[in-house]
Amino acid sequence: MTVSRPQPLLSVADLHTWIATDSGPVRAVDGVTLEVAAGEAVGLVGESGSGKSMLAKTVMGLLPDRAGTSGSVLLDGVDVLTASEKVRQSMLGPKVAMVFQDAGRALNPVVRIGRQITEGMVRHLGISGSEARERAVALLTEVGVPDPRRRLSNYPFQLSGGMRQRIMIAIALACEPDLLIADEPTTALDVTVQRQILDLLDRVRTTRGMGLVLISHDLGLVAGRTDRVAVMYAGRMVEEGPTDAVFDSPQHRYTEALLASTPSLDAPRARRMRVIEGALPDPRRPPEGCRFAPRCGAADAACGVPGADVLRDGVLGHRHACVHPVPLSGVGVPAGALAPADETRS
Amino acid sequence: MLLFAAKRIVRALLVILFATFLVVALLSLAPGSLAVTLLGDAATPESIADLEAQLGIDKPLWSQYFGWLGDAVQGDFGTSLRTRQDVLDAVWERIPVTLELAFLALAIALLVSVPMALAAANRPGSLIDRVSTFLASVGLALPAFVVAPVLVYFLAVKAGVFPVSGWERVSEGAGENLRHALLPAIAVAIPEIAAFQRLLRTDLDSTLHEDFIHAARARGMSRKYVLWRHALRPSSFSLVTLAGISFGRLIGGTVIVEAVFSLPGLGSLIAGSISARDVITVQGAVAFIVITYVVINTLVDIGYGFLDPRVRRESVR
Repeated sequence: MTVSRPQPLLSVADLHTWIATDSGPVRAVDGVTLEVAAGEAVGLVGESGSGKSMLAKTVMGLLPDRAGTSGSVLLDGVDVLTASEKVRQSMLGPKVAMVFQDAGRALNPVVRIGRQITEGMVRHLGISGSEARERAVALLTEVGVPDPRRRLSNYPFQLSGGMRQRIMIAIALACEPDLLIADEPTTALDVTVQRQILDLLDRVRTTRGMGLVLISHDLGLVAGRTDRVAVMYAGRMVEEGPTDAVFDSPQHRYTEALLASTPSLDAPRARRMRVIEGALPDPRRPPEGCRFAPRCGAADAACGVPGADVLRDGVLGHRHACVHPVPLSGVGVPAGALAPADETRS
Repeated sequence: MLLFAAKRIVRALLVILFATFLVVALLSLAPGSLAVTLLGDAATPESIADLEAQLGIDKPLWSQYFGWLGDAVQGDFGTSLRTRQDVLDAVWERIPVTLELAFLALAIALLVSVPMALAAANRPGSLIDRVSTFLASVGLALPAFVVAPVLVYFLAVKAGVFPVSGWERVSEGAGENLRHALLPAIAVAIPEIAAFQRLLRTDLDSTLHEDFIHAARARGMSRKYVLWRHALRPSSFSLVTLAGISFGRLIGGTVIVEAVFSLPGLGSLIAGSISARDVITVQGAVAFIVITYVVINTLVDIGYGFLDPRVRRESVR
């Protein structure tokens, strides 16, 4: 056998996802390429509207009927965009599972917890209902739900938010997926519970050797918990690389601004927190070239050229889509200080 | 759950008191003296006073009502002015026909409308959705007096599958009984099917946008399973309400269909009594309908507790 690069678990290539509206298609994901290897943890970061959740929904086949897609999403070698409904359903659970943002809304209020955990196992693993219940008890124990046997007959409203999210995670783990997609799994929770849930995700991932895509608007949340991070802006991927490297030396101006807008107690008071001026571009009519350019202090005419925002290799294993990348030493330099006007370039 | 049910029952009793009061009051508020109307040209002042005393309408309204109520709780709804039959007996005789018709119609309506709505909501905008919604609109627009003769013509006169009219008691064979009941029940059910389909279709549509539906799909559950097991129950609150209201309405509201098929039901009793100015029978029959209606709606209210566990909990707080 020839030794080749191992096939990635998830391979998204040139994915476009759009939603038809009366005023034209909303280009939610616009040419994104992303790979996740088996057992790898990847952070997917961007502000709301950046397309990160739509990317997850595309992988899970949860797009509304008005949505369209192009490109490919290979899950263990099978393109979920073209696979039959039956094939796709057979992969949801055993191959990939998803933890939703708000477990209070993602659990059916009128169906007992037990059924919501076991139904997937009965369908995908071909085991009996009673065997599935035994497994559910073990799963609830694993995710730290006390008194698991009694919880099975509870309804979601009888449990706290943190417990619900643990149950959501147990449901996702039920069919032992190779890849777990967690879409803002802690946004709806109290700060004290957030850390517990993230630690739980970390633990189950390492013990099971599972791949993880952790979606968040918060770079800091992804920092210590992922191997690689991908930053999205207005449907495009703007930077991608090893998490530490992206953190220590962001090269895309947007990543830099995003990091600077994260509150930090360590930073000098004057620059403790910066706001990114402006708003996301209209997703129906995104600007040509770099979509962040209208909000970027370093932007010039070169940024508006179509194709200006292709990913290019940077240093330290990054890839970024910036015409004027942040100089390596210039992490702390305010973006505006570099802003070159057109006439300064020949 | 017990406290919740008890509250509903107390409320139901209050509604029954109020509604029966209206029934008694409305008839004595009708213009002119009832006795004059009943006696017609032969009326003399003495005979009028006699009849008024006999009917109790010479007394003040509150006294009339409590007199009526006192008799009613003992099962005495009076004696028909027309047939001299005990009103309760007359109602009792006819209620099985009407109840069977209403039950059958409701069952048919639910059995047809729920799958129709599920199929339509499964793929919004699809052919099956448009056909199902179109049929529902047609059904809503068709009044019973149009549907019933058409059904009779095609299924009874032409095809001969069903009898043209008449009624057989269950005691004379369930098959024969059903053969006579089915066609009128279908005629009654058609507008109900339409209303149920529209309502459930709309509620399903909003439920299907919920996160928990996405979550169930993300577990790889089939569309059919998600529809039946996850979407139907949270979508059926309005349907259960409407079905309860419909059932109550059908108890008194199948007059036209009963007339077309000459069924000896409650509707035809009331219609006949009204044209004969048989006030006592009308009072008794309407009171009976009111009570049935309230009882059913109370059962529906309590039924919510079974549909949604949160309702049970809230009532305890």
